[in-house]
Amino acid sequence: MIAFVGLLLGVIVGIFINPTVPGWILPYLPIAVVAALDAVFGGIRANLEKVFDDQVFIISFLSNIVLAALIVFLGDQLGVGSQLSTGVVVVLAMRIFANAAAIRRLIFKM
Amino acid sequence: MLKLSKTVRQIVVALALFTFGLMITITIKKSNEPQVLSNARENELVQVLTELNRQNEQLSIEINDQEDVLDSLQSGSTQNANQAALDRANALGVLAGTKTVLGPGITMVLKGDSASINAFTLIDAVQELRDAGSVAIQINNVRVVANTWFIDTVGGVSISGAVKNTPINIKVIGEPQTLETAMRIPGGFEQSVIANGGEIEIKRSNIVEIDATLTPEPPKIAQPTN
Repeated sequence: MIAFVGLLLGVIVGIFINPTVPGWILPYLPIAVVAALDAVFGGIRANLEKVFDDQVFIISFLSNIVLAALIVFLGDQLGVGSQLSTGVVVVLAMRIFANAAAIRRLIFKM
Repeated sequence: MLKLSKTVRQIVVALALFTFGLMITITIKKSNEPQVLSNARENELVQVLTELNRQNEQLSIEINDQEDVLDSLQSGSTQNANQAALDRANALGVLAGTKTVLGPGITMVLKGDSASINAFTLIDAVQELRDAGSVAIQINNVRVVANTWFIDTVGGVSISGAVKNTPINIKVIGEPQTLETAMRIPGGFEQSVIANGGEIEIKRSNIVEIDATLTPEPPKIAQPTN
């Protein structure tokens, strides 16, 4: 319950503040969001399967973001940044869909 | 595994989701902001550069053509040369902003804060108008020509050094129908101004008078050849 309050609070704060994001972070922000979205969907699925573990969630949340940003950063250095970020988004989207399907099955089985 | 109380663990998860919510909203906000070159990727910059090079080539070809015309004028009769020179002077006067201009076109009034009316908006407007075949543009009392520049300042938008506040009046001479369509095209200038919270009023007019002029400065750095 506290978790959803945190999410809601984050969205509200995000709407009202307007921080200046350093320019070098900007290309990685959308990728990081998609990676975080994947972790959140994974967390919801684990929760419904009653195997949710907060430590696993936090670690997957952080490592997802860092890894996704790192891959895109590496891609930028190698000159294939936009292709790699497309690849990362595709893979993450596939995982999100797989998790969403599992969540749907878990909900409708009940 | 760390031994932490249940509440602390829940708070940590909530904190992660708080960051997530923050990231989503900030990313959405940032991606809706006008794209500036400073945060473009390297390959996007390369594209821009390629485009500029292509334009440069085309302009070089044009320069060659004009030089040919000049050559033929210099070798032609005085009468023809005078008439042609007068025509050229008039055409260049309109282009360089040294002459006042009268003709059909549109007038626009822009209102809003710095989120909707800023240097980027004005550059966008000028580019769209030029694409739509505008002959002459005036923003408030500043004539817009090739080397006019825009920058956001604390007091408003600076147009070649003159700071302007909203409401901003833009007068444009050109084919009124085409200019209006260019401004009102779905997803175009009018909609982007409104989407950012500004107000815009576009009026077609049979006679638009552009009275701001510029004094031509003798070239300091570039010297014309021939």
